[in-house]
Amino acid sequence: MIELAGVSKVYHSYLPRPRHVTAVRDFTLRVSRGEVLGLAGPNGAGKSTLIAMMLGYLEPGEGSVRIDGVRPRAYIERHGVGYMSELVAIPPRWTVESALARYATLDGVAPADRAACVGASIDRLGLGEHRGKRAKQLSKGNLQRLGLAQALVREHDLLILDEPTHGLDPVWTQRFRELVDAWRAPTRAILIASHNLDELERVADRVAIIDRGRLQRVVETRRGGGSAAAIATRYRLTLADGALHVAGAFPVSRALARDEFEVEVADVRALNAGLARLLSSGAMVTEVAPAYSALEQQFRDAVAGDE
Amino acid sequence: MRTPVTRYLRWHAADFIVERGLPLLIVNTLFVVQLAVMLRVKAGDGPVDRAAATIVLSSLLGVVGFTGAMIAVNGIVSNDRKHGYFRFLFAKPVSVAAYYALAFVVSAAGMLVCGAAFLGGFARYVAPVVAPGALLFLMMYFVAVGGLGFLLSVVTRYDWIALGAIWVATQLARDAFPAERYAAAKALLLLLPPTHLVQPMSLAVLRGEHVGALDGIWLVGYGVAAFVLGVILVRRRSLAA
Repeated sequence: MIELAGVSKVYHSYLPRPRHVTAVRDFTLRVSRGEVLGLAGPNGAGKSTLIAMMLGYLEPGEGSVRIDGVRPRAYIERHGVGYMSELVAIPPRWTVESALARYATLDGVAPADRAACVGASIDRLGLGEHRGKRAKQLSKGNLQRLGLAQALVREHDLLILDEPTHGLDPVWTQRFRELVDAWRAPTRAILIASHNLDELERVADRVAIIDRGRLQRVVETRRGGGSAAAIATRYRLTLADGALHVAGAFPVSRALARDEFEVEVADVRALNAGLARLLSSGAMVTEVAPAYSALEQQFRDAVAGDE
Repeated sequence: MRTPVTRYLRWHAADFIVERGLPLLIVNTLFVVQLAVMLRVKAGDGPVDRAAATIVLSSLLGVVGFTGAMIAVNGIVSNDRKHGYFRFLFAKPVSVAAYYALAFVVSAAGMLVCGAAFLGGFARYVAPVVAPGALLFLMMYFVAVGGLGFLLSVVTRYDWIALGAIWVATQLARDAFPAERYAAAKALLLLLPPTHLVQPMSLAVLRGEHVGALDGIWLVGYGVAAFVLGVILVRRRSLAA
Protein backbone atom coordinates (compact mmCIF):
# COMPACT_ATOMS: atom_id res chain seq x y z
CA MET A 1 0.00 0.00 0.00
CA ILE A 2 2.82 2.41 0.92
CA GLU A 3 5.94 2.31 -1.20
CA LEU A 4 9.04 4.27 -0.34
CA ALA A 5 11.69 3.95 -3.03
CA GLY A 6 15.16 5.38 -2.46
CA VAL A 7 13.78 8.24 -0.40
CA SER A 8 16.18 10.89 0.87
CA LYS A 9 15.57 14.18 2.60
CA VAL A 10 18.09 16.85 3.47
CA TYR A 11 17.17 19.90 5.55
CA HIS A 12 18.94 23.09 4.58
CA SER A 13 19.39 26.17 6.71
CA TYR A 14 21.51 29.16 5.86
CA LEU A 15 21.49 31.35 8.95
CA PRO A 16 23.57 32.00 10.99
CA ARG A 17 25.73 29.74 8.79
CA PRO A 18 24.91 27.20 6.07
CA ARG A 19 23.90 23.80 7.47
CA HIS A 20 22.70 20.71 5.65
CA VAL A 21 21.32 17.88 7.75
CA THR A 22 20.44 14.58 6.13
CA ALA A 23 17.33 13.33 7.91
CA VAL A 24 16.56 10.34 5.67
CA ARG A 25 18.83 8.67 3.15
CA ASP A 26 18.09 6.11 0.47
CA PHE A 27 15.17 4.60 2.35
CA THR A 28 13.26 1.82 0.63
CA LEU A 29 10.35 0.01 2.26
CA ARG A 30 6.95 -1.35 1.40
CA VAL A 31 3.99 -1.56 3.77
CA SER A 32 1.31 -3.98 2.62
CA ARG A 33 -2.38 -4.13 3.30
CA GLY A 34 -3.20 -6.48 6.14
CA GLU A 35 -0.02 -5.84 8.08
CA VAL A 36 0.95 -3.83 11.12
CA LEU A 37 4.40 -2.38 10.62
CA GLY A 38 6.36 -0.88 13.48
CA LEU A 39 8.89 1.87 12.90
CA ALA A 40 11.55 2.10 15.58
CA GLY A 41 14.58 4.29 15.93
CA PRO A 42 16.41 6.52 18.39
CA ASN A 43 15.59 10.21 18.72
CA GLY A 44 16.47 12.09 15.56
CA ALA A 45 16.66 8.89 13.52
CA GLY A 46 14.33 10.29 10.85
CA LYS A 47 11.02 8.65 11.81
CA SER A 48 8.98 11.86 11.90
CA THR A 49 10.48 13.11 8.63
CA LEU A 50 9.61 9.79 7.04
CA ILE A 51 6.03 10.02 8.29
CA ALA A 52 5.72 13.64 7.12
CA MET A 53 6.74 12.46 3.65
CA MET A 54 4.21 9.61 3.77
CA LEU A 55 1.52 12.20 4.48
CA GLY A 56 2.74 14.55 1.78
CA TYR A 57 3.55 17.24 4.33
CA LEU A 58 7.15 17.13 3.11
CA GLU A 59 8.45 16.33 -0.35
CA PRO A 60 11.42 13.95 -0.58
CA GLY A 61 14.59 15.42 -2.03
CA GLU A 62 15.23 12.17 -3.88
CA GLY A 63 13.24 9.02 -4.47
CA SER A 64 9.51 8.65 -4.37
CA VAL A 65 6.67 7.97 -1.94
CA ARG A 66 3.49 6.41 -3.25
CA ILE A 67 0.30 5.28 -1.60
CA ASP A 68 -1.68 2.90 -3.75
CA GLY A 69 0.43 4.07 -6.67
CA VAL A 70 -0.25 7.79 -6.34
CA ARG A 71 1.41 10.70 -4.57
CA PRO A 72 0.50 10.91 -0.87
CA ARG A 73 -1.47 14.19 -1.12
CA ALA A 74 -3.47 12.86 -4.06
CA TYR A 75 -4.34 9.72 -2.08
CA ILE A 76 -5.11 11.52 1.16
CA GLU A 77 -7.23 14.26 -0.41
CA ARG A 78 -9.32 11.50 -1.95
CA HIS A 79 -9.44 8.84 0.78
CA GLY A 80 -7.99 10.31 3.98
CA VAL A 81 -5.86 8.46 6.50
CA GLY A 82 -6.17 7.87 10.21
CA TYR A 83 -3.22 9.86 11.48
CA MET A 84 -1.99 10.55 14.95
CA SER A 85 1.07 12.76 15.35
CA GLU A 86 3.70 12.58 18.05
CA LEU A 87 2.68 16.01 19.33
CA VAL A 88 -1.08 16.35 19.55
CA ALA A 89 -1.67 19.82 18.11
CA ILE A 90 -5.31 20.78 18.51
CA PRO A 91 -6.36 24.43 18.99
CA PRO A 92 -6.61 24.94 22.75
CA ARG A 93 -10.04 26.59 22.50
CA TRP A 94 -11.73 23.57 20.93
CA THR A 95 -13.66 21.26 23.23
CA VAL A 96 -13.29 17.51 22.91
CA GLU A 97 -16.75 17.22 21.37
CA SER A 98 -16.41 20.14 18.95
CA ALA A 99 -12.91 19.02 17.89
CA LEU A 100 -14.20 15.56 17.02
CA ALA A 101 -17.23 17.05 15.24
CA ARG A 102 -14.89 19.19 13.12
CA TYR A 103 -12.59 16.30 12.29
CA ALA A 104 -15.57 14.07 11.53
CA THR A 105 -16.92 16.77 9.20
CA LEU A 106 -13.63 16.99 7.34
CA ASP A 107 -13.46 13.20 7.30
CA GLY A 108 -16.63 13.10 5.25
CA VAL A 109 -19.03 11.91 7.94
CA ALA A 110 -22.52 12.96 6.82
CA PRO A 111 -24.13 15.63 9.02
CA ALA A 112 -26.89 13.23 10.02
CA ASP A 113 -24.36 10.67 11.30
CA ARG A 114 -21.97 13.13 12.89
CA ALA A 115 -23.34 13.12 16.44
CA ALA A 116 -23.44 9.32 16.60
CA CYS A 117 -19.93 9.09 15.13
CA VAL A 118 -18.53 11.59 17.62
CA GLY A 119 -20.32 9.84 20.49
CA ALA A 120 -18.87 6.48 19.46
CA SER A 121 -15.34 7.94 19.25
CA ILE A 122 -15.71 9.50 22.68
CA ASP A 123 -16.90 6.21 24.16
CA ARG A 124 -14.20 4.17 22.41
CA LEU A 125 -11.43 6.31 23.90
CA GLY A 126 -13.11 6.82 27.29
CA LEU A 127 -13.44 10.58 26.96
CA GLY A 128 -17.06 10.79 28.12
CA GLU A 129 -16.39 12.80 31.26
CA HIS A 130 -14.13 15.21 29.33
CA ARG A 131 -16.38 15.85 26.32
CA GLY A 132 -17.10 19.46 27.31
CA LYS A 133 -13.50 20.30 28.27
CA ARG A 134 -11.30 22.42 26.08
CA ALA A 135 -8.14 20.88 24.64
CA LYS A 136 -6.03 23.17 26.85
CA GLN A 137 -7.72 21.73 29.96
CA LEU A 138 -6.86 18.13 29.15
CA SER A 139 -4.04 16.19 30.76
CA LYS A 140 -1.29 14.79 28.54
CA GLY A 141 -2.87 11.34 28.55
CA ASN A 142 -6.36 12.62 27.75
CA LEU A 143 -5.02 14.85 24.97
CA GLN A 144 -3.28 11.80 23.57
CA ARG A 145 -6.57 9.91 23.66
CA LEU A 146 -8.27 12.80 21.87
CA GLY A 147 -5.56 12.58 19.23
CA LEU A 148 -6.28 8.90 18.81
CA ALA A 149 -10.03 9.52 18.75
CA GLN A 150 -9.73 11.99 15.88
CA ALA A 151 -7.55 9.54 13.94
CA LEU A 152 -10.21 6.86 14.31
CA VAL A 153 -13.28 9.03 13.92
CA ARG A 154 -13.87 7.21 10.65
CA GLU A 155 -12.46 3.96 9.34
CA HIS A 156 -9.62 4.27 6.85
CA ASP A 157 -7.56 1.79 4.89
CA LEU A 158 -4.38 3.38 6.18
CA LEU A 159 -3.51 4.24 9.77
CA ILE A 160 -0.31 6.08 10.61
CA LEU A 161 0.27 6.43 14.34
CA ASP A 162 3.31 8.31 15.61
CA GLU A 163 4.09 7.48 19.25
CA PRO A 164 0.46 6.57 19.98
CA THR A 165 1.02 5.36 23.56
CA HIS A 166 3.23 8.24 24.63
CA GLY A 167 1.70 9.60 27.84
CA LEU A 168 -0.96 6.90 28.15
CA ASP A 169 -1.34 5.09 31.47
CA PRO A 170 -0.89 1.29 31.58
CA VAL A 171 -4.64 0.69 31.36
CA TRP A 172 -4.95 2.69 28.15
CA THR A 173 -1.70 1.27 26.79
CA GLN A 174 -3.26 -2.18 27.13
CA ARG A 175 -6.50 -0.85 25.64
CA PHE A 176 -4.51 0.52 22.71
CA ARG A 177 -3.16 -2.96 21.96
CA GLU A 178 -6.70 -4.29 21.93
CA LEU A 179 -7.74 -1.50 19.60
CA VAL A 180 -4.91 -2.28 17.18
CA ASP A 181 -6.02 -5.93 17.19
CA ALA A 182 -9.55 -4.79 16.46
CA TRP A 183 -8.39 -2.56 13.59
CA ARG A 184 -6.44 -5.34 11.89
CA ALA A 185 -8.06 -6.11 8.58
CA PRO A 186 -6.85 -7.64 5.32
CA THR A 187 -7.60 -4.38 3.52
CA ARG A 188 -5.89 -2.12 6.04
CA ALA A 189 -2.26 -1.17 6.57
CA ILE A 190 -1.21 0.14 9.96
CA LEU A 191 2.10 1.87 10.61
CA ILE A 192 3.10 2.58 14.20
CA ALA A 193 6.19 4.59 15.03
CA SER A 194 7.35 4.21 18.60
CA HIS A 195 10.29 4.26 20.96
CA ASN A 196 8.57 1.56 22.94
CA LEU A 197 10.04 -1.65 21.54
CA ASP A 198 8.05 -3.86 23.88
CA GLU A 199 4.91 -2.21 22.54
CA LEU A 200 5.94 -2.76 18.93
CA GLU A 201 6.87 -6.35 19.59
CA ARG A 202 3.38 -6.96 20.92
CA VAL A 203 1.36 -5.27 18.18
CA ALA A 204 3.45 -5.28 15.00
CA ASP A 205 4.10 -8.04 12.48
CA ARG A 206 7.37 -6.49 11.36
CA VAL A 207 9.48 -3.69 12.76
CA ALA A 208 11.63 -1.47 10.57
CA ILE A 209 14.60 -0.11 12.49
CA ILE A 210 15.85 3.25 11.31
CA ASP A 211 18.93 5.06 12.52
CA ARG A 212 20.59 8.19 11.16
CA GLY A 213 18.08 8.26 8.36
CA ARG A 214 18.90 4.79 7.05
CA LEU A 215 16.83 1.65 7.21
CA GLN A 216 19.07 -0.65 9.28
CA ARG A 217 16.99 -3.80 9.22
CA VAL A 218 13.46 -5.14 9.22
CA VAL A 219 12.72 -7.56 12.03
CA GLU A 220 9.90 -10.04 11.94
CA THR A 221 8.38 -10.21 15.41
CA ARG A 222 7.01 -13.31 17.10
CA ARG A 223 3.59 -12.03 16.14
CA GLY A 224 4.71 -11.92 12.55
CA GLY A 225 6.15 -15.45 12.67
CA GLY A 226 9.75 -14.67 13.72
CA SER A 227 11.48 -16.74 16.41
CA ALA A 228 12.44 -14.83 19.50
CA ALA A 229 14.47 -17.76 20.86
CA ALA A 230 16.72 -17.78 17.83
CA ILE A 231 17.50 -14.13 18.33
CA ALA A 232 18.02 -13.66 22.06
CA THR A 233 21.57 -14.37 23.16
CA ARG A 234 21.74 -12.61 26.52
CA TYR A 235 19.85 -13.80 29.57
CA ARG A 236 19.47 -12.60 33.11
CA LEU A 237 19.79 -15.23 35.87
CA THR A 238 18.59 -14.77 39.41
CA LEU A 239 19.78 -17.24 41.98
CA ALA A 240 18.81 -18.09 45.54
CA ASP A 241 22.09 -19.88 46.13
CA GLY A 242 25.31 -20.87 44.33
CA ALA A 243 26.37 -17.59 42.77
CA LEU A 244 29.99 -18.76 42.92
CA HIS A 245 29.30 -21.39 40.25
CA VAL A 246 27.95 -19.06 37.55
CA ALA A 247 31.34 -18.26 36.08
CA GLY A 248 32.10 -21.99 35.76
CA ALA A 249 28.80 -22.78 34.10
CA PHE A 250 28.76 -19.84 31.67
CA PRO A 251 32.07 -18.77 30.08
CA VAL A 252 30.72 -15.26 29.37
CA SER A 253 28.93 -13.78 32.35
CA ARG A 254 28.89 -10.69 34.51
CA ALA A 255 27.39 -9.95 37.89
CA LEU A 256 24.62 -7.34 37.97
CA ALA A 257 23.98 -7.74 41.71
CA ARG A 258 24.94 -10.23 44.43
CA ASP A 259 22.55 -12.91 43.12
CA GLU A 260 21.87 -11.59 39.65
CA PHE A 261 23.94 -12.22 36.53
CA GLU A 262 23.84 -11.56 32.83
CA VAL A 263 25.10 -14.43 30.70
CA GLU A 264 25.80 -14.54 27.01
CA VAL A 265 25.23 -17.70 25.02
CA ALA A 266 25.22 -18.66 21.36
CA ASP A 267 21.70 -20.07 21.39
CA VAL A 268 19.04 -21.76 23.51
CA ARG A 269 20.91 -25.08 23.47
CA ALA A 270 23.96 -23.41 25.00
CA LEU A 271 21.75 -21.70 27.57
CA ASN A 272 20.28 -25.02 28.69
CA ALA A 273 23.67 -26.69 28.81
CA GLY A 274 24.96 -23.89 31.02
CA LEU A 275 21.93 -24.11 33.27
CA ALA A 276 22.43 -27.88 33.58
CA ARG A 277 26.04 -27.32 34.71
CA LEU A 278 24.92 -24.66 37.16
CA LEU A 279 22.18 -26.81 38.68
CA SER A 280 24.42 -29.87 38.91
CA SER A 281 26.90 -27.81 40.91
CA GLY A 282 24.18 -27.20 43.51
CA ALA A 283 23.03 -23.71 42.55
CA MET A 284 19.37 -22.74 43.01
CA VAL A 285 18.03 -20.74 40.05
CA THR A 286 14.88 -18.72 40.70
CA GLU A 287 14.53 -16.85 37.39
CA VAL A 288 15.83 -16.97 33.81
CA ALA A 289 14.73 -14.25 31.41
CA PRO A 290 16.05 -12.72 28.19
CA ALA A 291 18.20 -9.72 29.13
CA TYR A 292 16.65 -7.83 26.25
CA SER A 293 13.58 -8.66 24.28
CA ALA A 294 14.35 -10.15 20.90
CA LEU A 295 13.49 -6.88 19.22
CA GLU A 296 15.50 -4.86 21.71
CA GLN A 297 18.51 -7.02 20.97
CA GLN A 298 18.08 -6.46 17.25
CA PHE A 299 17.59 -2.77 17.84
CA ARG A 300 20.78 -2.49 19.88
CA ASP A 301 22.74 -4.42 17.29
CA ALA A 302 21.34 -2.34 14.44
CA VAL A 303 21.97 0.98 16.11
CA ALA A 304 25.40 -0.04 17.44
CA GLY A 305 26.38 -1.37 14.02
CA ASP A 306 26.11 2.06 12.53
CA GLU A 307 28.31 3.75 15.10
CA MET B 1 -14.30 10.29 -1.50
CA ARG B 2 -13.22 13.90 -1.05
CA THR B 3 -15.25 15.88 1.48
CA PRO B 4 -16.91 19.04 0.10
CA VAL B 5 -15.17 21.76 2.08
CA THR B 6 -18.37 23.80 2.30
CA ARG B 7 -19.48 21.38 5.02
CA TYR B 8 -16.87 23.06 7.20
CA LEU B 9 -18.36 26.51 6.59
CA ARG B 10 -20.02 26.80 10.00
CA TRP B 11 -16.74 26.03 11.77
CA HIS B 12 -14.86 28.61 9.73
CA ALA B 13 -17.59 31.14 10.56
CA ALA B 14 -17.47 30.27 14.27
CA ASP B 15 -13.67 30.62 14.30
CA PHE B 16 -13.90 33.97 12.53
CA ILE B 17 -16.42 35.37 15.00
CA VAL B 18 -14.45 34.34 18.08
CA GLU B 19 -10.90 34.93 16.87
CA ARG B 20 -11.27 37.87 14.49
CA GLY B 21 -14.79 39.24 14.36
CA LEU B 22 -14.91 40.36 17.98
CA PRO B 23 -11.50 42.10 17.86
CA LEU B 24 -12.57 43.76 14.60
CA LEU B 25 -15.80 45.05 16.13
CA ILE B 26 -13.90 46.37 19.14
CA VAL B 27 -11.39 48.20 16.93
CA ASN B 28 -14.17 49.66 14.76
CA THR B 29 -16.13 50.76 17.81
CA LEU B 30 -13.05 52.54 19.13
CA PHE B 31 -12.70 54.34 15.78
CA VAL B 32 -16.33 55.49 15.92
CA VAL B 33 -16.06 56.65 19.52
CA GLN B 34 -12.85 58.55 18.81
CA LEU B 35 -14.39 60.27 15.79
CA ALA B 36 -17.60 61.07 17.61
CA VAL B 37 -15.72 62.73 20.44
CA MET B 38 -13.35 64.58 18.10
CA LEU B 39 -16.01 65.96 15.74
CA ARG B 40 -18.51 66.80 18.46
CA VAL B 41 -15.92 68.72 20.44
CA LYS B 42 -15.04 70.64 17.28
CA ALA B 43 -18.70 71.32 16.51
CA GLY B 44 -19.47 72.57 20.02
CA ASP B 45 -23.21 72.89 20.56
CA GLY B 46 -23.98 72.93 16.83
CA PRO B 47 -24.39 70.03 14.45
CA VAL B 48 -21.34 68.23 13.09
CA ASP B 49 -20.25 69.69 9.75
CA ARG B 50 -21.19 67.04 7.20
CA ALA B 51 -18.49 68.00 4.69
CA ALA B 52 -15.80 67.82 7.37
CA ALA B 53 -17.22 64.49 8.56
CA THR B 54 -17.07 63.14 5.00
CA ILE B 55 -13.38 64.05 4.65
CA VAL B 56 -12.56 62.54 8.04
CA LEU B 57 -14.48 59.38 7.17
CA SER B 58 -12.76 59.06 3.80
CA SER B 59 -9.37 59.21 5.54
CA LEU B 60 -10.48 56.70 8.10
CA LEU B 61 -12.08 54.32 5.64
CA GLY B 62 -8.66 53.31 4.36
CA VAL B 63 -7.42 52.77 7.93
CA VAL B 64 -10.51 50.75 8.82
CA GLY B 65 -10.18 48.74 5.63
CA PHE B 66 -6.49 48.07 6.17
CA THR B 67 -6.66 47.15 9.85
CA GLY B 68 -9.82 45.14 9.19
CA ALA B 69 -8.21 43.14 6.39
CA MET B 70 -5.08 42.69 8.44
CA ILE B 71 -7.00 41.32 11.42
CA ALA B 72 -9.25 39.22 9.17
CA VAL B 73 -6.47 37.38 7.34
CA ASN B 74 -3.63 37.49 9.86
CA GLY B 75 -2.31 33.96 10.33
CA ILE B 76 -5.02 32.48 8.12
CA VAL B 77 -2.55 29.84 6.86
CA SER B 78 0.61 30.50 8.86
CA ASN B 79 -1.08 29.93 12.20
CA ASP B 80 -1.96 26.33 11.35
CA ARG B 81 1.56 25.71 10.11
CA LYS B 82 3.19 27.40 13.09
CA HIS B 83 1.19 25.42 15.65
CA GLY B 84 1.03 22.18 13.65
CA TYR B 85 -2.79 22.19 13.48
CA PHE B 86 -2.57 21.28 9.80
CA ARG B 87 -1.39 17.78 10.67
CA PHE B 88 -4.76 16.45 11.75
CA LEU B 89 -6.83 18.72 9.48
CA PHE B 90 -5.20 17.61 6.27
CA ALA B 91 -4.96 13.91 7.07
CA LYS B 92 -8.67 14.09 6.24
CA PRO B 93 -9.93 13.80 2.66
CA VAL B 94 -10.17 17.50 2.02
CA SER B 95 -8.46 19.86 -0.40
CA VAL B 96 -5.97 22.09 1.40
CA ALA B 97 -6.44 24.86 -1.15
CA ALA B 98 -10.23 24.74 -0.94
CA TYR B 99 -10.10 24.73 2.87
CA TYR B 100 -8.09 27.95 3.00
CA ALA B 101 -9.95 29.57 0.11
CA LEU B 102 -13.18 29.06 2.03
CA ALA B 103 -11.58 30.54 5.15
CA PHE B 104 -10.66 33.60 3.05
CA VAL B 105 -14.22 33.98 1.73
CA VAL B 106 -15.58 33.71 5.28
CA SER B 107 -13.11 36.40 6.37
CA ALA B 108 -14.27 38.65 3.53
CA ALA B 109 -17.91 38.23 4.55
CA GLY B 110 -17.05 38.82 8.21
CA MET B 111 -15.02 41.91 7.38
CA LEU B 112 -17.96 43.24 5.36
CA VAL B 113 -20.33 42.79 8.30
CA CYS B 114 -17.89 44.56 10.63
CA GLY B 115 -17.41 47.33 8.04
CA ALA B 116 -21.18 47.77 7.79
CA ALA B 117 -21.35 48.01 11.58
CA PHE B 118 -18.65 50.71 11.49
CA LEU B 119 -20.43 52.75 8.80
CA GLY B 120 -23.74 52.31 10.59
CA GLY B 121 -22.20 53.44 13.87
CA PHE B 122 -20.61 56.45 12.17
CA ALA B 123 -23.91 57.49 10.56
CA ARG B 124 -25.81 57.01 13.81
CA TYR B 125 -23.41 58.55 16.35
CA VAL B 126 -21.10 60.91 14.44
CA ALA B 127 -22.68 62.38 11.32
CA PRO B 128 -25.38 61.14 8.94
CA VAL B 129 -22.99 60.36 6.10
CA VAL B 130 -24.69 57.54 4.22
CA ALA B 131 -22.79 56.17 1.26
CA PRO B 132 -23.76 52.71 -0.01
CA GLY B 133 -20.60 52.71 -2.14
CA ALA B 134 -18.48 52.84 1.02
CA LEU B 135 -19.25 49.22 1.76
CA LEU B 136 -18.30 48.25 -1.76
CA PHE B 137 -15.08 50.20 -1.34
CA LEU B 138 -14.32 48.33 1.90
CA MET B 139 -14.92 45.06 0.09
CA MET B 140 -12.57 46.05 -2.73
CA TYR B 141 -9.99 47.18 -0.25
CA PHE B 142 -10.31 43.91 1.64
CA VAL B 143 -9.66 41.96 -1.55
CA ALA B 144 -6.55 44.06 -2.26
CA VAL B 145 -5.05 43.90 1.23
CA GLY B 146 -6.49 40.52 2.17
CA GLY B 147 -5.34 38.86 -1.04
CA LEU B 148 -1.79 40.03 -0.39
CA GLY B 149 -2.14 39.02 3.28
CA PHE B 150 -3.25 35.55 2.23
CA LEU B 151 -0.24 35.14 -0.05
CA LEU B 152 2.11 36.30 2.69
CA SER B 153 0.48 33.93 5.17
CA VAL B 154 1.28 31.06 2.80
CA VAL B 155 4.94 32.00 2.41
CA THR B 156 5.93 33.33 5.83
CA ARG B 157 5.10 32.92 9.48
CA TYR B 158 5.49 36.65 10.02
CA ASP B 159 2.68 37.55 7.67
CA TRP B 160 1.12 40.54 9.43
CA ILE B 161 4.50 42.18 9.96
CA ALA B 162 5.38 41.56 6.31
CA LEU B 163 2.01 42.92 5.16
CA GLY B 164 2.35 46.08 7.22
CA ALA B 165 5.94 46.59 6.10
CA ILE B 166 5.09 46.13 2.40
CA TRP B 167 2.10 48.48 2.61
CA VAL B 168 4.00 51.23 4.41
CA ALA B 169 7.12 50.82 2.25
CA THR B 170 4.97 51.02 -0.88
CA GLN B 171 3.35 54.24 0.28
CA LEU B 172 6.74 55.73 1.04
CA ALA B 173 8.11 54.58 -2.31
CA ARG B 174 5.16 56.04 -4.19
CA ASP B 175 5.59 59.37 -2.40
CA ALA B 176 9.34 59.46 -2.95
CA PHE B 177 9.33 58.29 -6.58
CA PRO B 178 6.13 59.39 -8.29
CA ALA B 179 5.62 57.42 -11.50
CA GLU B 180 5.05 60.63 -13.49
CA ARG B 181 8.56 61.84 -12.74
CA TYR B 182 10.49 58.59 -12.53
CA ALA B 183 9.80 56.52 -15.62
CA ALA B 184 12.16 53.77 -14.50
CA ALA B 185 10.20 53.35 -11.27
CA LYS B 186 6.91 53.01 -13.11
CA ALA B 187 7.23 49.30 -13.89
CA LEU B 188 8.45 48.52 -10.40
CA LEU B 189 5.61 50.48 -8.80
CA LEU B 190 3.14 48.47 -10.85
CA LEU B 191 4.26 45.37 -8.97
CA LEU B 192 3.63 47.01 -5.62
CA PRO B 193 0.20 47.29 -4.00
CA PRO B 194 -1.91 50.20 -5.40
CA THR B 195 -1.85 52.12 -2.13
CA HIS B 196 -2.15 55.44 -3.96
CA LEU B 197 -5.69 54.60 -5.08
CA VAL B 198 -7.12 54.19 -1.60
CA GLN B 199 -7.61 57.79 -0.43
CA PRO B 200 -8.97 59.24 -3.73
CA MET B 201 -11.28 56.27 -4.18
CA SER B 202 -12.72 56.42 -0.67
CA LEU B 203 -13.31 60.18 -0.97
CA ALA B 204 -15.00 59.78 -4.36
CA VAL B 205 -17.20 56.98 -3.03
CA LEU B 206 -18.31 59.03 -0.02
CA ARG B 207 -19.07 62.05 -2.17
CA GLY B 208 -21.05 59.88 -4.54
CA GLU B 209 -18.67 60.68 -7.38
CA HIS B 210 -17.68 58.41 -10.24
CA VAL B 211 -14.80 56.01 -9.55
CA GLY B 212 -12.62 55.05 -12.49
CA ALA B 213 -13.24 51.46 -13.57
CA LEU B 214 -9.55 50.95 -14.27
CA ASP B 215 -8.65 52.02 -10.74
CA GLY B 216 -11.22 49.61 -9.31
CA ILE B 217 -9.94 46.77 -11.47
CA TRP B 218 -6.37 47.55 -10.47
CA LEU B 219 -7.19 47.54 -6.75
CA VAL B 220 -9.24 44.34 -6.86
CA GLY B 221 -7.12 42.67 -9.54
CA TYR B 222 -4.00 43.09 -7.46
CA GLY B 223 -5.59 41.31 -4.51
CA VAL B 224 -7.15 38.60 -6.65
CA ALA B 225 -3.82 37.89 -8.34
CA ALA B 226 -2.07 37.64 -4.96
CA PHE B 227 -4.83 35.40 -3.60
CA VAL B 228 -4.72 33.06 -6.62
CA LEU B 229 -0.94 32.84 -6.31
CA GLY B 230 -1.41 32.03 -2.62
CA VAL B 231 -3.89 29.26 -3.44
CA ILE B 232 -1.49 27.76 -5.99
CA LEU B 233 1.39 27.90 -3.51
CA VAL B 234 -0.57 26.43 -0.61
CA ARG B 235 -1.43 23.53 -2.87
CA ARG B 236 2.14 22.95 -4.02
CA ARG B 237 4.23 23.94 -1.05
CA SER B 238 5.11 21.40 1.67
CA LEU B 239 3.02 22.23 4.72
CA ALA B 240 5.67 21.04 7.13
CA ALA B 241 8.57 22.77 5.37
